[in-house]
Amino acid sequence: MKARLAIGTTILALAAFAAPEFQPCVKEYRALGGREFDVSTLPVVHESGESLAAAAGEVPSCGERSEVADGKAEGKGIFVAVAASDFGKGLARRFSLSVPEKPQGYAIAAKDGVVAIVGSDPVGAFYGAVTFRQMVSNGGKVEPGQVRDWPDILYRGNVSIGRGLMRYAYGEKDRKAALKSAIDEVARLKLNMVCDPFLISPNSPDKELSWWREIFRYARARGIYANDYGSTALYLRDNAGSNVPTGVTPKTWPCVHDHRPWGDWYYCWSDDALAEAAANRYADYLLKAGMEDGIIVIHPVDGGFWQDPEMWSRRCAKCRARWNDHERWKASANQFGILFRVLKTRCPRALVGSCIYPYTFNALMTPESERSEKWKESMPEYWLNLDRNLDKDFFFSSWICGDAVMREIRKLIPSRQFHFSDTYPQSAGIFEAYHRKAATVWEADSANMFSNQGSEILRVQWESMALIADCTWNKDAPESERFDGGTYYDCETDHAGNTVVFTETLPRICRTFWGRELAPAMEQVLASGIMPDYLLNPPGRVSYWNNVRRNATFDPLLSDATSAQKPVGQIVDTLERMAAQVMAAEKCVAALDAAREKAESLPAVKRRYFMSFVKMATYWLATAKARLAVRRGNALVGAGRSKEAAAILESARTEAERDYEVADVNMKALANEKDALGFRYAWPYGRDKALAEIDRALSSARVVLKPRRVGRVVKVGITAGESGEATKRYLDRFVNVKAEIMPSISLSELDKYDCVFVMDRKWDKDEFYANIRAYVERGAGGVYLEGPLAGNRRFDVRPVFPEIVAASPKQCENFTQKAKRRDGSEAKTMYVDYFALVPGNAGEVVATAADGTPLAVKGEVGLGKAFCCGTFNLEAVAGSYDIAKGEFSLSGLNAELAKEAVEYFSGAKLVEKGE
Amino acid sequence: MTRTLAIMLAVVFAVMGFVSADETVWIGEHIVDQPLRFARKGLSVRPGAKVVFRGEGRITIENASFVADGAAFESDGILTNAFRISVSGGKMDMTRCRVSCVRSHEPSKGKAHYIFGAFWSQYGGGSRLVGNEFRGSSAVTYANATGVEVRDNLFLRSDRAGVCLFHVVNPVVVRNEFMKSVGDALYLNAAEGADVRENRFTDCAVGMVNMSCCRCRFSGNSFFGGATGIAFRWAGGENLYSANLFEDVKGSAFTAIEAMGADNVFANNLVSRCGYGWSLGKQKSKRRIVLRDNAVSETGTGISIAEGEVDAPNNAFWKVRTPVVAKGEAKVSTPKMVTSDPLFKDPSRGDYRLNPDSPLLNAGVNGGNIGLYQ
Repeated sequence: MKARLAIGTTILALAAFAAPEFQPCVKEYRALGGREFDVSTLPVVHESGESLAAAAGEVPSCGERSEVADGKAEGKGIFVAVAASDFGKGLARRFSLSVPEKPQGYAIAAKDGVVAIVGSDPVGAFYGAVTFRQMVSNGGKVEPGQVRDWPDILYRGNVSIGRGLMRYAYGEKDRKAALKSAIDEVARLKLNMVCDPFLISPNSPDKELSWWREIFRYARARGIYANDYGSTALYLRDNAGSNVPTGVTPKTWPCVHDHRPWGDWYYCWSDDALAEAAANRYADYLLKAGMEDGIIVIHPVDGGFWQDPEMWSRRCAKCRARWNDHERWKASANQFGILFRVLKTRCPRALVGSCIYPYTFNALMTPESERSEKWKESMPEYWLNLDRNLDKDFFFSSWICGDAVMREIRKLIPSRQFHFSDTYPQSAGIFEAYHRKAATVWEADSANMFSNQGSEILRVQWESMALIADCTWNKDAPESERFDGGTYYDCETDHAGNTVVFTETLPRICRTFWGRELAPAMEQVLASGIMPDYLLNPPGRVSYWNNVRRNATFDPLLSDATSAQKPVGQIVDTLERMAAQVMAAEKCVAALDAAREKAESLPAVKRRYFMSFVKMATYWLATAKARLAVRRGNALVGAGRSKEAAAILESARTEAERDYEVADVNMKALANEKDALGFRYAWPYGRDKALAEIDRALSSARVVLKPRRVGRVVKVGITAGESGEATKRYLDRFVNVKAEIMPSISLSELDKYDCVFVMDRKWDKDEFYANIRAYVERGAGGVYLEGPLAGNRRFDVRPVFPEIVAASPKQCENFTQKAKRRDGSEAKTMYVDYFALVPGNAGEVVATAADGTPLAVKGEVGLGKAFCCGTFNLEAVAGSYDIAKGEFSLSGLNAELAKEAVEYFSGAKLVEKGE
Repeated sequence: MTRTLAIMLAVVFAVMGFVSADETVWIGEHIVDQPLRFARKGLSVRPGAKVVFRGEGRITIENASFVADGAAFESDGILTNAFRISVSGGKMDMTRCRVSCVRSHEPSKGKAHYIFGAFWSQYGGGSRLVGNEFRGSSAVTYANATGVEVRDNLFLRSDRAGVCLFHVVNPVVVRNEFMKSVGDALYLNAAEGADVRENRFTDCAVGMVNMSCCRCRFSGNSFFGGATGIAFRWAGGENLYSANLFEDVKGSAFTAIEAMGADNVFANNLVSRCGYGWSLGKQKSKRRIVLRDNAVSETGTGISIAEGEVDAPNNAFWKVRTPVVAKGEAKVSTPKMVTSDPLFKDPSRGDYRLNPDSPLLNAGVNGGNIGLYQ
């Protein structure tokens, strides 16, 4: 409350004296009255030290810079110091400065032609200089005033180098200088974590590491910590190289092994000497790369969730001899203990911790009824034991938690430092308001870290980063909200909808980041609600949004995260949503057109960033318009108004050609303008794709559906994907079936087949609902729908044949894989779960789960037939959720159902080849 | 002696199944290696049961019902010229059964009589044969039966014939799959009022033989490959052959080995990539044969007749080497013949639906379409 008042005072001061605008807001600002004075030529005198020199560099003066010689501040000038030094003490006395006794805090006084910037520590002084930079107007003048300020959260943000900042170095002759400029911008936002140095690893050559050392030391001088992710692996092979001994391969390694496309990790808990050697290799790397005082998160084996954390069941005989099944915590404590000791010995200033596995504190909210002994052992007891047996300075890392979870975890781990990441949201838009919840990680007397990860998936979204800075520097920032443990990122509220963020914070961010001239245009762009990633992949995005709405910690890369969030309403992808994107894109194009002239004088980093918008906006518009037309066309086709659909689509085709021409010409004209889009970036949904989609819809509109007679072979179209391929392999066994993978579900494509199997969910929803139903109802086709496609809300599918399957309300586990045929005989499903089906009025149950829940239902719709199957044509590995790799075919009940479906649709009897 | 046999049979039944008041029920596996006779009390073979015929083993049902559902029938040998199963006077109901290699004559060893070459005979009574699969077996033969329903069965590699109907009234033969029959897949002799519909004949030597059948309706059947689609022998009249598809039949879609009876109509059939459309030979009926609204495409000869008259209005011939061959005194009148591209949707993939601009649309006798689709 106190701090909120302080910020309120600041705002009052701003209003009364037209005081400077700060981003992030400062805790206290007091206008001193009197005349503004010119600082543009004042000499800058600073104390020695990298951060203080960097601070001096931030001061917007072209006066001489020098280190203080005698500890005295004499005459006019800008003086930069730390509070504990004589020089700092002198400045504090002279200006009656009360320097906050908080890490990274500072005080500023500007009056009578003199400016004093005194930090509680060197980094505080640097932040003071950054703030002072915002006090100075374009003309180099400053209003007399005082500032006292400090951050509430000491470790803020986590700007990705690999995914973001490096893009500012592409194409530059001096890549190092370009990267440093980008780091300057991070520092100016008062964010202090960077991550993802993808180009290097402990396997990198020394020369490469020394290049990066200069970068990380430069960042550290500006208060920025490298946040690196180490590993408990004993050996590692990655893109940079390998330290795996000869003869060790995934096949020969006896203990746990993790393979990803970019590397192999070899784990074992039983060999302390190897663990020590690996820790030393990692310490060497940190030292050589300049990350010796970074934030080091040691990643354990990633997998198995609480059922088999870290794949503990797969550990080797030596591990088993040393640790029994219930002693994973002992093994971890031993291993983390070794790593911590080595790293803190060799890199004493590093902050060391781990996302100890499973790293989802949210899972503490698992319902009481589901808390098995294994669950307790794997999570609460494991964390408790590690807390008791690891050094108190070893931090634990997890996803951000709501207050309720925080209370629970603090019962187990009362005082340890936590490193919280946001929920890894996959934002579809450009500016995201969700980081207004960042300060949830703040706890009194803690040094918790907030590591955002979501914003950097494709780019550094500077304004979003500024919002993080705003909410972490000031936990009580006006827009700040507590994360309630539910949806962290929500497309409905986070790209245009949060009132405070969009009416107060964003305009301020734009003014401070872009300058007053460009700010209005950029504010329009950023608040437009445009969602480029949604435009690129509407069904994928909507699916993700709804997954997040169901499970706040949903991570597409991990299927096992969980939380106790109550499901909230699902987002339905409508024509109106796409129409809104067209309007948003139009707004962006217009705003950016108007802003281009004003962007000439932008510094390099911002100019590149600006140009990214300018290059993309016309593609956003072209894409949104094309997609909207396709949706309209498909909707009309579904309604049987094919002629109207064809007219709309024909006109849309012409328009799309023109729109993409404009976008391509714009892109070409800006070819020499550097951007932050990445090397040779091209908008993925270009002219050809858009026209192809329009043509597909057009071909659907032109199809006159008529029933067909099955020929010599039953022609079966199957959608791509693993289950589709498996189904094709199975149907290829029959002499009178010709199965093909369909490239699309356009009506013209569907109409080629006697029946189709639709297995995946990547279709445009309008096309799916319109074409699939029309094909059956009017074209007398047969459609087999797999899994949630019968109509599962969670997967954003409404029942396409409600008369056959009224709903598919839930996904059920079925690890026994037992099922029953219609006649009551037993059968086995290939996969370990299924979607329960509720038969509609015309639905006939074909098979059920062992408990009688319908899992396959068929029936007639119009002239055709539908067959809905809740289980998947996927092969489970050893009764687990893992899917078999390689060329598997259908078996058991799945095979029978596929055969029955084709026979049901076609009236033909399938005969195997060679019979 | 009879008493001893009865006691023995009772013991056998007690071991193999159980005897209910009305019928004997078989579950599990049964070896039939000697003749078994069920009179008055029927036999019911339950789902999952397996019946294996050996040696002289056969089942005779007299004036009783025979019901089999979801059972398997096999044979490890051939019982030459005798039925493995014969039902007379009772009702037969066989559903979802699998019949493998139950033969009653040596395959490929000369012609066997249709009746005596069958492994199964039903004489009189009613019969329902639904959803069964017959693989490599001899024929199922019905004689003088009524209420015969043969539906949704598979007859694969039938030996000599798949189904034979002798003197059967109003039989329904619907949606069966006949594939790779060595002889005549479906044989009808003196059947009356048959409804033969939506069956598929693939690579059968002869798809269907119609011998002296009257007032039957053959519609929506498909014939793929093989030597002959439908063969006629002897006079049978008032039959309608409509909307049948013949594709890649090497010989004739329709062939008359003997003269047909009166008032046979062929309408809306489609012949594609065949040797002949209609090979009618010598027809003697004073009443003309009517061929209307048929489409013949990519075929050697459309209509060939050596004697008699044919009315063939509103037929389409596209890429037919010789649309009509009328020898000697024979006459074929072909008013409103269409010879332009029929614009089928995708004939190479067997899709003969008409494109919106097809000349066959509304070009039929009564303003309907020529070809399969109305």
